[in-house]
Amino acid sequence: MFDINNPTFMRLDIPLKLSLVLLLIVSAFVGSWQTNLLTMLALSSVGFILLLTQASLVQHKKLFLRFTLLTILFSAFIIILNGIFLREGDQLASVLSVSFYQGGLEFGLTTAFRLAVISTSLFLFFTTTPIRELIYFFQHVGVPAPLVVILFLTLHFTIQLPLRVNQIFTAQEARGASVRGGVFGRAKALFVILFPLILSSISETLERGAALEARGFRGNFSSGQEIRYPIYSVALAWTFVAVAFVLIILTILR
Amino acid sequence: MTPAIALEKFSLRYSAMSHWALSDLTFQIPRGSCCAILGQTGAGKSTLLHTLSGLLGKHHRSAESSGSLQVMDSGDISLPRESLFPRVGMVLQDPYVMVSGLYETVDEEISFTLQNLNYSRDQISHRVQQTLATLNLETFASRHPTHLSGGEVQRVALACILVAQPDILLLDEPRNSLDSAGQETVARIIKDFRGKTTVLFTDYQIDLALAIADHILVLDGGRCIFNGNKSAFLKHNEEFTSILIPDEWKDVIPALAAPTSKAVRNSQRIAKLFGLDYA
Repeated sequence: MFDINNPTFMRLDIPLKLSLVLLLIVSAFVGSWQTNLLTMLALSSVGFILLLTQASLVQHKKLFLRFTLLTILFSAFIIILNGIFLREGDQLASVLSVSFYQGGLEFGLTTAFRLAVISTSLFLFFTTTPIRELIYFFQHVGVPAPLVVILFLTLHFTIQLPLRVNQIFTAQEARGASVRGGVFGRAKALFVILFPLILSSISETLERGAALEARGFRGNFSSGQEIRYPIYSVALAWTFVAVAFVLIILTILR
Repeated sequence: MTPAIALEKFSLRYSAMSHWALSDLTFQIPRGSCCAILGQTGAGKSTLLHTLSGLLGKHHRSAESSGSLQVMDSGDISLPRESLFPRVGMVLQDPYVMVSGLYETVDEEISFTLQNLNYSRDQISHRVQQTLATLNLETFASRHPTHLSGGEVQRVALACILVAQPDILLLDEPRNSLDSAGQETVARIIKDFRGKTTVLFTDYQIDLALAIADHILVLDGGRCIFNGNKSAFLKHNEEFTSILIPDEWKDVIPALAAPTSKAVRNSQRIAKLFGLDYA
């Protein structure tokens, strides 16, 4: 039985988590929108249970709530747009002289829930996996050192991105710019900060690379101990990978 | 004994097409001394430190140099093309980038440096404890490295380099963005290393240099416009120092001889460099 208070429930091995993400991504492409909706609901429930019960993940709680809200809004946006503009199939309803079509709505539902499953599974993977463990894993499976460094710097950059955006927003606010006023205000402000954001992020990534070298880093991260994954975990991971390939092949042959 | 660092007519540019970022530098830094490199933004301070650490030559393959450069007993290496760590350790201007982000505690973060150098687990543990004690970081050992104040991160960044016990320590604007308490801590730490490790630090104000440096270099546009010890600096730049240093320091400055015309010209140049009126 899974014990929710047992951290091992949360700390699944990286091969197992990665293969599960791969399987979810593949199933998002091959499954119907109903399957994807159910998968997304299951993932969101797991996410909420983990983030609300695990003390070590408490800092992600607010982020996950925001992420879920944005996912719902984004999905609704895609579904409505497709329902209006993709005029295929029967006309289902008309609201204020705007018509919704069955084909468009189905396409919208498929696309929206597919994206939702992919983004939610990736979000859960990254919030429950420390960069360090991921880097050790890549090294363990023989990914070349320069590539591991690039992956590390990219992951670092991605994690720092929301913080950096917030800093630039605050700086713009200090100059009297209205950057937090509603969705449109934020979207407009995001466009304005894009250039300084990219420049500062590139500059910081280069600095971080130089700092790693200044600390004697030669491209090999070392955990100080040999990494061993339990046999059942590796077996289950390979099973997920195999199922993902079977799904791909069946879809091609269908 | 050979000096820790010796430059003879050393010039550097980033490529054959660009201007000289460092020009005709000649100076020697004795072992175990503390040297302050002063100058405005763009004077070449960071370029000089990055050159000495080997990082500039490694990252800018098209960089060219002339003259000679020696670091410890390296012989004439003109422009080092590989990082000279751990003999030369450098703390970059932004201490936050020195934190790798891989570890959740300060002691693990510091040990990362020694893991890179393939030290054994026992050696790592011993050195990390020693470094934590030296920098008064014991109470932070189990804290998250990115959840610290600016001054604390600066000390962690310093610990990340000092744990390798480099012969030469290069600090790029070590008190940048620190409050007065943080600046005092950094000054005390640098002072404690005098005599044991050769320390070079860059700064844009002279008070820290006057407080702890044995040797002062002033750069302007990549050229060295002053090279000497503290007393020579005070003697040749009386007017300049009396303008720049804090009031509480003025009492401790000895009465100096009337400056020579050359010293006056030099003072005028330095005052202009720092954007001050030379009376």
